[in-house]
Amino acid sequence: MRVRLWGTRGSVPAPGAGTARYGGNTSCVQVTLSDGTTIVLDAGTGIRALGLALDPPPGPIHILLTHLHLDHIQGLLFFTPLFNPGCEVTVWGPPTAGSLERLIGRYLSAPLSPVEVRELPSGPAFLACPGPEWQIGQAQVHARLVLHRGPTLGYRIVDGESSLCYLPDHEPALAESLDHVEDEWISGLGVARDASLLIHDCQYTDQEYAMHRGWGHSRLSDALDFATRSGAKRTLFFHHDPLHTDALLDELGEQAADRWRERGGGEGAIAMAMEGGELQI
Amino acid sequence: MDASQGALNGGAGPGAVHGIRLVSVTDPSSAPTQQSLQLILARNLLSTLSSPAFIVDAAGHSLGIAYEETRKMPLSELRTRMGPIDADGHPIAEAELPTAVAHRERRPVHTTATVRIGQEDERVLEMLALPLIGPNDTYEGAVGIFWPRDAELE
Repeated sequence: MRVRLWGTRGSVPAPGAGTARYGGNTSCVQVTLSDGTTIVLDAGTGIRALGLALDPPPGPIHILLTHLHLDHIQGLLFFTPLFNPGCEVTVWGPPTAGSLERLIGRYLSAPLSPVEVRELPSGPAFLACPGPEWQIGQAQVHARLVLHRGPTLGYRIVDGESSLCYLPDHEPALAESLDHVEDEWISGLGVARDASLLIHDCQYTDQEYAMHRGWGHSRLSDALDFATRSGAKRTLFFHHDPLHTDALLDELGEQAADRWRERGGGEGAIAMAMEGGELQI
Repeated sequence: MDASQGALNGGAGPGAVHGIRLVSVTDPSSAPTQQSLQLILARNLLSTLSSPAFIVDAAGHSLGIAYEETRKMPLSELRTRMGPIDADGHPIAEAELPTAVAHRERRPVHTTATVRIGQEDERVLEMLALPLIGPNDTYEGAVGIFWPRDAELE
């Protein structure tokens, strides 16, 4: 499968000269399966440019939302396939107290939006994930609730021998260091196990985390621990804090690489996610 | 949420250690790869409390108990060792222990009981059990928490 990053920023878009390289758009990852099926992970502002690139749409589009925080759905209103009556779009999301369509309708409705969900010309389907596993195109999709604030899913997409795990908002070490916890008690580890590619939250530096414990995100140390414990072949650190400039992310990336080497990790197995980045896995 | 959606949490398995001890009583060889998020969060909470506590999963298997000295044991053996008795001195049946009731009837339960700690010591405990109900009313398990009535918490 092919993976392209359209938005790697967390919390709120952070455009500007200081964030141009890593990008200012919020979470959105395009996954093209080996059979050509398009899966889109999250609908942050990065999905706007993806929509323009998908013209004409290559076929049905499946958007998998990890959760409904605004930085993960904000781009929906600007995703052009939703305005194409000939385009088949399915939006999958976490189990919630109300219907997914009604909850997304809180954003896609007046006074926040000039367009209501029911007015979208493509007539998208909004579906809660049907279970822990289901099939989309060629791929087996696995979803598990993971540690973040509010119902949040982590996804694993398996296409033949390749697997992608997506955990953009995740605080697995909320209560205790991962060093002290067995694998099965670590949130998200089940879907991340031995993935070809892991995309994981790394919003904070270790210093910043002290002020943000419980906010649902990981610091560098915990992201490194999780990557190690998962056995993923390659890991991209994702959901960059909006205050993190390119220079700071470069520095954080170097620090991560040094610490990864110190723990015996393979060269080039971890990197900071960069908007526009593309990988074949 | 239906049963299949409930499984978004994954399955059950053995416990872990932090501060107070959570000891596995399930067979590790049959353990699925991931505990449910509600159980992980419950354990996160219980592992930071001084109050002794334990967790059962949706199938009623005990996943851990928060007494340092407790080795792996099923609830029935635990009951035999601790022998909770009610205010009138009658043994409390296993099926009537708060966690068993919370698990069976999916409701919170509170009671007071006397238990044996170690060889000789006896303590009166407040016992509270809470069912863990996930999204769309999926039952994920239960937690039981104890408060010694006649002694300071350590």
